[in-house]
Amino acid sequence: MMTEQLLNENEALRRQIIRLETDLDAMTAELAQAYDQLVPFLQDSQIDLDSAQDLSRFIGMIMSAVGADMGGVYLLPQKGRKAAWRTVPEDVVHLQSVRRVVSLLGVEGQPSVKAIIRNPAQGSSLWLFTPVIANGALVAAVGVGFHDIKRELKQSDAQLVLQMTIRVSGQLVNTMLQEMNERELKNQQSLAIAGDIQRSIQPVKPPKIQHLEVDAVWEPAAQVGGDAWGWSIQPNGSLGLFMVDISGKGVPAAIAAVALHTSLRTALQLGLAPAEVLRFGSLQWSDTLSDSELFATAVVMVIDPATGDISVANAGHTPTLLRLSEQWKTWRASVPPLGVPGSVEPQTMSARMKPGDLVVCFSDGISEIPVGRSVWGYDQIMASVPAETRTASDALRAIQQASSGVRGRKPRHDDETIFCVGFLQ
Amino acid sequence: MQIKQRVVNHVLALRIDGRLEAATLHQLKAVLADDTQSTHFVFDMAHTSFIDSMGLSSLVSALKLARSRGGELILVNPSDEVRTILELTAMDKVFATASNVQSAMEMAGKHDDRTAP
Repeated sequence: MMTEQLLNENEALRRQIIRLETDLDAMTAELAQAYDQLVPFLQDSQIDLDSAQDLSRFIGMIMSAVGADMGGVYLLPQKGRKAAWRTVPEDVVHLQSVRRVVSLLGVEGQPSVKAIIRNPAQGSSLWLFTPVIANGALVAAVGVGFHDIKRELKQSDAQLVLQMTIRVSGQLVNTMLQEMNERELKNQQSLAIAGDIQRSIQPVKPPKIQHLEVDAVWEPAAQVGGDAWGWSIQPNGSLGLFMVDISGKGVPAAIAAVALHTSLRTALQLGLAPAEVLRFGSLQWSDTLSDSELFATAVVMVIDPATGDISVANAGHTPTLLRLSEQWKTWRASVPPLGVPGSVEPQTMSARMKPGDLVVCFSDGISEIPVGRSVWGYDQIMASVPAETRTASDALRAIQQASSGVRGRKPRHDDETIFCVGFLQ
Repeated sequence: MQIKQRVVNHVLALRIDGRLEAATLHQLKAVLADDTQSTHFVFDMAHTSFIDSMGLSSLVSALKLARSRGGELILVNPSDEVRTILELTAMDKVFATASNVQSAMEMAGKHDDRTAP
């Protein structure tokens, strides 16, 4: 009985093996047939890569060949050059995600890698990457992506992508480099425009007003920052001053700086108090800033030149430093920056200045000058102004000299803006 | 900077060690870009040794992302360096904080209970 059962099981297993072998033969034949069909296509199709358009065309061809929904070329970083990731359609998958997958190509000579990549906007997608080798080294990777993450990726898919990639590997890298250069040029032009916009709103001269002395400096970073400062005389003769710092860079940040600058200046001209000026700016621009993934720190002050009364309101900006009767005071932000979620009900700080008193307002480009693994900090700004300093211009010069000494020959990492106000005899 | 991550019940919990600044914040952006499911973010910042204005900006972006999903960003036990910057910029009024990760997870759960239809 036992022997008969074993014989039956053996027979069943033998039949299963035969069936699997038959299936394997059929699959092998199918694969060979598919590959034979692809060879003429590979040999006949012209793939010349001379421009960014050709690169898109090449990616498109590979996508068509394997029925992919997306495609891309990833150029590995080299000395002095960042990694680049060009896709069709544009920006379908984050470069960082691709970097992680492509790094597996170098592991044990993987001929191709498959991975599911998540993307907040597009959802998850299935990707297949094959290497681009130049002079024996991995220099780039070509990928195809599918929305259907359960799609079966056949060996022929990888072979096809690989074969098409091998034929153009040299041109591919050159074209990617060319496109990177074009993008860099456009980026530089965009930054130049942003710089011009930002420069256009900085005051040409500080205000001249009886009993008050104002001196200021605005030094833009090589890469455009978002600092701006301004002033306005109020209807009652008080001097209104403000400084803003937009968190982003480039044209959007520069335009936001212009808009906010105009709003704050207008509000000051209307004679509003500092907290009201900030509220006005917040009402006008918070939603726009927030929608643009930007935010802006802002500090606004009003000084009555007749009495020396000063009031300050600060939304997320670096502290305003006041030297009143030889003692330094630090007036901090009472509300977060404009554009950050949450209501803006700023508090007003007030004091009466005496002759010789000073106000120092600065951007984080000054307080965050790198010093080793830390930053300069506003304590050092106060320490850099000698006790005997009595004028705004002397205070400004002292801070500039100290900050230059700290920065050394390193380029500015951010815009550096300072204005100082002195109350005169 | 080093980021360790885990996801528990739609809460993405990150431990951010080291410097969160312009040069390193792409790491945080990449982690957030890869996460499409989490409603809440819990950032353990006990060992975040430094944060600059760009780092702050990335926290604000994370907060906006969490709120756009009906969730919240909760900062856990920010280091003295981070706490000082948050206070200086009045951002301490913006972010919810917790003393440890467990408390932050419970806060996220309570938030869900309150906002459930």
